Amino acid sequence: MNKTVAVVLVVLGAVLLLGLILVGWGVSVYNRIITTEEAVKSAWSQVENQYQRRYDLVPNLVETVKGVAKQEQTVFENVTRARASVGQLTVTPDLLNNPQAMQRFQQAQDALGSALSRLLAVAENYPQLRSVEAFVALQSQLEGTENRISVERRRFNEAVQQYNLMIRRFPGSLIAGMMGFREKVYFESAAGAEQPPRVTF
Amino acid sequence: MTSTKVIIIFVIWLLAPFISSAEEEPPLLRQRVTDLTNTLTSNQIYSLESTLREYEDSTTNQIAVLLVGSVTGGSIEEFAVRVFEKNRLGQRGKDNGVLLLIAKDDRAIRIEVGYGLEGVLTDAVASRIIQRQIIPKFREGNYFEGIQAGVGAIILAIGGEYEATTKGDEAPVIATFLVFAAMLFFFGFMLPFMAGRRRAVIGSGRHWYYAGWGSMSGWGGSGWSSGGWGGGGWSGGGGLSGGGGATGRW
Repeated sequence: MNKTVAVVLVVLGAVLLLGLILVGWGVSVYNRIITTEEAVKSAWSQVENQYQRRYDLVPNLVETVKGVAKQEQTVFENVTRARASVGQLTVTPDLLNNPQAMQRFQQAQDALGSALSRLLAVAENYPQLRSVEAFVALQSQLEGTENRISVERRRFNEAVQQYNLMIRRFPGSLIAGMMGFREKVYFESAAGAEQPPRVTF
Repeated sequence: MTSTKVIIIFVIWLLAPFISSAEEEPPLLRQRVTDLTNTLTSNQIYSLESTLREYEDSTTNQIAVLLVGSVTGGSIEEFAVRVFEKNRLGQRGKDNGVLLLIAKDDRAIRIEVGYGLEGVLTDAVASRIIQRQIIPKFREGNYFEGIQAGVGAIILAIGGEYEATTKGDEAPVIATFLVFAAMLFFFGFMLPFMAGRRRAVIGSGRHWYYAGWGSMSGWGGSGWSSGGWGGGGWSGGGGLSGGGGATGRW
């Protein structure tokens, strides 16, 4: 009689202990997923910052080029339109989990990017712009911003890769499935942009 | 498939990781000025190095110079970021590093600015430094003078953006040192002195005082210098950049 009670107690204790260990392990995996997800979010906010910086640069740039090249109306209109459609984007935190919204975001930003590069190409035809201090400064700022965007996009993709690996590989996949973590979308890079540079000495 | 083909494929497969990594890995910088093209003389490197060391000691801002031949398969901007990422120029948390990268055969210059210095060394300023200080000298073939002028202009632009924080770190060291000195003074000098007034042995007490003083100050001295960068290896302090800066071609 006493012996059976003892056995039951030991079994119960073992089950309880196992349960505690399991829960503790689950929590630690969960926390690691959360950490990588936070890394994705902070990388994304860097991407957004840089796009915002470009967005803020546009009006000044357009005005400066307009001062010299008034007749290039279509180029200015394209840039202004592209900027307006970027301005209409509603960027919610949900964006990272929503492939369609992400695609819209990328398309709008890419359109602004190509409109801006056309603007700069047109500006090349006006050598007198070279001597306008404001234009030279704005141009270097824009180039710097484009470069920042590509750096932050790459870092974002690396963070997303970490996260996606985390939730797709066992045991992360188990916890991710239970807690409803979903894969995040990569930034599609422009063709050839993903190749790392090589150096010769 | 013939056996020779198999062997060739096997050999390629074995060598593949070495071939790709040898070319793509950005160099690890062991000193502030790294010339992989043998353009600068050792005296010139030493001169730049000491300017940069002095500046780093007083501000903790890390400026590094790297000369390479050519960057292929990607842009100089991308390569600059990778060099920065690998070497982590600037201090952790301050991100106050700057990389002056010169791809000699591409005739391209890149100033890559750490996050913490983007406010003072803006893209426009970096671009102006390249266009006005560096490129005119490079066009004449004066690489050293161009780099020297560029480094000088970068230092001028950043100025005293960050102060060396070693003063704060040294304060407790000084305090402990003073406490030690006071204790030594008391035990090594005052006690024998007081004892001497009571006609005890003065000579042995004095002797102990000198020995104690000498050994302790020697210990304090070594603790002092370890706060700065050692003479041997130099490395980045954990800073990061985000693609800020400017590129120029000559």
